[in-house]
Amino acid sequence: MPTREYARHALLGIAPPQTNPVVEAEFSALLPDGVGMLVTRLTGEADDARSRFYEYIDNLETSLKAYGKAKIDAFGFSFTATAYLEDVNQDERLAAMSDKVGYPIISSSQAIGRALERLGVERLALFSPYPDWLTELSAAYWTRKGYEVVSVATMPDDTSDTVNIYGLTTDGMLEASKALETDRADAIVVTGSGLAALPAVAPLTERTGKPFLCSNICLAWALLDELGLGYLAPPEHPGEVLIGGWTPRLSRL
Amino acid sequence: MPTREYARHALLGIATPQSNPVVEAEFSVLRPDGVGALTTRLTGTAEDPKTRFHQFLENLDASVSAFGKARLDAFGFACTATAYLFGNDESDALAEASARLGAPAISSAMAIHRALERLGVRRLALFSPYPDWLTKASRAYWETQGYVIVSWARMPDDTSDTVNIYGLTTDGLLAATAGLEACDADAILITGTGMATLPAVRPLFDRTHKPVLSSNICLAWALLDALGLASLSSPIAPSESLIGGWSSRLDRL
Repeated sequence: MPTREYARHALLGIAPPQTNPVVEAEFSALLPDGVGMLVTRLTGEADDARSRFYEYIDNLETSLKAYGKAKIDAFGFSFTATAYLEDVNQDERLAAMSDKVGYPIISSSQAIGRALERLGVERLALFSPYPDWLTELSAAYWTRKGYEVVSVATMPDDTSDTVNIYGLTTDGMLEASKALETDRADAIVVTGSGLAALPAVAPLTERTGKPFLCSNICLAWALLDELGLGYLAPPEHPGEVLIGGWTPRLSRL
Repeated sequence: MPTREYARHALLGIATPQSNPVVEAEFSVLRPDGVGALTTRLTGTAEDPKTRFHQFLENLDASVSAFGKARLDAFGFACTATAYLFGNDESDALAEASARLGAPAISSAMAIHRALERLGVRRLALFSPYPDWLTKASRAYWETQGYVIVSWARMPDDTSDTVNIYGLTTDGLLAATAGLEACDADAILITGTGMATLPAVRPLFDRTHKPVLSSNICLAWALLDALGLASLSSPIAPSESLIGGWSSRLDRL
């Protein structure tokens, strides 16, 4: 490990989509003491959301080059939706990029998959902040991966331009998630790294009694897990799944 | 203010030099509750540091455009050396960034100047992590701005490639500052955003009883001050100048 004053355990690279204001906030609460984060942004010029998603991965090498000579231990591609587009071949492309740059790369969707496997989840209640076309792709993706999607709910807000997701609030999410049937589910998955989800964890867990996973919780945990550092942040109460210690830090956000 | 779950007081944009692992860490503890930050990176491909610093300015528009449609309340350019080397170009680039973002843009050097004025400091003890040529440029800059440099010192390490600054430690900094004569100074200024300085503030203050300012302390405070939010983080510990509350958060880093 290189000499450094901060980030004694690990230095993570994190890439949120360009406009996303949630990833950095949630990671700042989720990461345990001594684990640092350097951010680079996923960029695209297209006004159409779907085209922009392709650009995020087409431009990934430029995003990574923005780290200059920084030595990061693992990299989180903090975006879920690209994986849902079948023709992106995201997993293969990220693996090739990881070989090229020499550090592990984990995407939000890979992190969710890893979390579901670790917890032995087979049946999902899926909550989505996306517009309908993307919610459908998301449900299809998890079904293809072998999970049974027992219920799907979305936000009632207009998210046809997906940047509107960033303005959604926890209160709205708690209300909309009442449509979710969770009795038959092993876990609730809230997909999308741009929806502020952490303040909803405790109330949703209390209401449903089911573990609550979101893109950012899964990615923060998966990066630590990949580096053998999961022990730094054990869950401290029933509302924290896989990664813990962050609840008291929500007041910082 | 747009609807958002986090960053209820303000959302800052911070641009950090590409390889710099210190800015994001120090800002994560300097920011008060409810003030968020999105990061973009200053990029340059030149091996020569001086050329690279200029590239940070040439490429600033691309760095800023990586914020997409994010609505930032203020923008901090977290690099000090550009002002020492290319003062006019830095002002021009910052003015363009401000126009593009529709938000005030403040560089580290502007922030230091604002802090020194606010504290009524005229006589500086200057500590630099830079190589000789850049240390000289920094002394000349502050003298041109009307300050008296009563003493100066620098790190003994090889920082001819300025990225080596990122590996410097607080112990080394405290040892090297023993050469600084602070008796006649109104304040100690540690320049450069890439040297970890926050853990050194208290021991340096205890040793000299002079306010200890650094590039990152000044920039975090100046951004809040520009937004009328400095009261969110008034100094608490005697060693905290201008911005406070962060000393107790250092164990997060």
